[in-house]
Amino acid sequence: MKADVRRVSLRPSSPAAPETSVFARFCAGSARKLFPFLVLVVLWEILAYTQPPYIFPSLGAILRTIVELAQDGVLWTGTLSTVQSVFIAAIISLISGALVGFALAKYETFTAPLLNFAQTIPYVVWALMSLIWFGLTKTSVVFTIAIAAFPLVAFNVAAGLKNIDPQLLGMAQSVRANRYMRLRHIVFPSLTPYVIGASRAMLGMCWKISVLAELFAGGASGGVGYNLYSAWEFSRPTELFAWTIWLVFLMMLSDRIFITPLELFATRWKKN
Amino acid sequence: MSNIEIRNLTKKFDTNEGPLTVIDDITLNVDDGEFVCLLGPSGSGKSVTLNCIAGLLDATEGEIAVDGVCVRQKQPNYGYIFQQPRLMPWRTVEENLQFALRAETGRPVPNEKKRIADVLELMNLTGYEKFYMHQISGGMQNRVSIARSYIRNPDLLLMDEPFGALDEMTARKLRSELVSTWMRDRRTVVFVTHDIIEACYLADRILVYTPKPTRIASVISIDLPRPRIYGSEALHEVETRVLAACEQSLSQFTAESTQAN
Repeated sequence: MKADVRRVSLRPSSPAAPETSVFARFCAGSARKLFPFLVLVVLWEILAYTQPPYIFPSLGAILRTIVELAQDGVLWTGTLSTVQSVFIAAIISLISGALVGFALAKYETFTAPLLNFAQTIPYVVWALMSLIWFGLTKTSVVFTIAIAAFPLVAFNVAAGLKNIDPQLLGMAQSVRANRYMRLRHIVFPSLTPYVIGASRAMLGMCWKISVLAELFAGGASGGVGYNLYSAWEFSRPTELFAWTIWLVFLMMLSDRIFITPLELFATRWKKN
Repeated sequence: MSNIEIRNLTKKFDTNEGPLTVIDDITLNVDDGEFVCLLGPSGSGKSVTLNCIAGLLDATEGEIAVDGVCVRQKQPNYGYIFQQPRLMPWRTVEENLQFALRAETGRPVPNEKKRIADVLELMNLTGYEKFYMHQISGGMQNRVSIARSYIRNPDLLLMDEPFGALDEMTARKLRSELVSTWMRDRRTVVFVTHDIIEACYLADRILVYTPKPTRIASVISIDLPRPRIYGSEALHEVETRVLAACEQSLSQFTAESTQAN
């Protein structure tokens, strides 16, 4: 900690530090961030150039298809439907995952086997079972996503609970802190990094499972997964790629909108 | 202010190899406003004694009473200071102190702001209310942790090697601050340490512990005025006495364990 402070305070006076404007540094930073995507685009285009379009379409064709889907309206209805399912399922798995995580930390011998059992069942089986239980409805989509995603949260919360600094708990005991004070000031803040990490993985999982679930639920969902499937069924590979790219975009966007601000908020005390 | 009576305190822990006696039949008194140091090798049950006084650990045998009240019935009003500052890194200095104030109820207490300001002034921390732990030095974190124990206005301070993890210069500074703070209102202090010089600098009375199972090897009273001066003739004389007592207890212990084998 001390070393860090020293390093930071030395930097401005260090003669080796290059004088750069804020704008130049911003550009350099963006370039570094964009570079991997640039490599991806180049590789994609090389592949697309050497393959026939029905095997591997070019990015231009894919983007055109996305625009067409948008003009058609199906892009928006599909996205809305999937976003709804993912959002509801993510909330459910966050809450139920946290509760199960607490149970896992407290009654491990009881909870761990049950959770392992639920987690070992393949997602496809959950998708099929939920069709039997809930029929061709959106509920079955939400159920499949939530049941696939909540163990991630549960395991992380349990790990976080086990890693709470016993010294802080001892301190709390020495001032006779009640349960509310312990939870609010020690347990929850200790859990934050675990919950954020879990949320990030869980949200990504939700998006991926949503495709699977919607594929099985068919037209009842009308979501991205269903559209992906029908694009495949009707041999429209460019559309298939278009929906996939769109899904990846949505995934990254949701991380930016929800997880990154959460992370910044939770770690705000670390900044000077 | 509190007095402590410890009668025939024995503490055993259950281990895989059977019960392990850490403290073996200790009897001692600490007077109102006395500064007592428990001095002994590591693992000699000094911290266990503190935890028993605090009522955090139950005695296997024997009784501990603070102000005549058995600690098993009612935990004494103590302030506990650990070797590590044990501060919440996600809370500011002020919020860490607030935690100690509100701990039992979760609700604000009367005069909260003033009590925090007072104790920060006492510890020379005024102006650092809004700082987080990674923004202040180790010595300052230590002061915050002492402030945290003072803020509850305890009659009894239990200190478990509070300066053990600090460099000697910082520790000296904090020790002299502790002495001047203590001299204002003379709360009862039980201070655990393995540092002979520290014990001699601070204590009214030093209890030298034997290695495990712990008994009291000797009791040394120090009748020097404060603030004491490191390296002074008088303090040096006391240190020599304490060192001799420690040596004697260690050699006795070695002799006994050789005989036992």
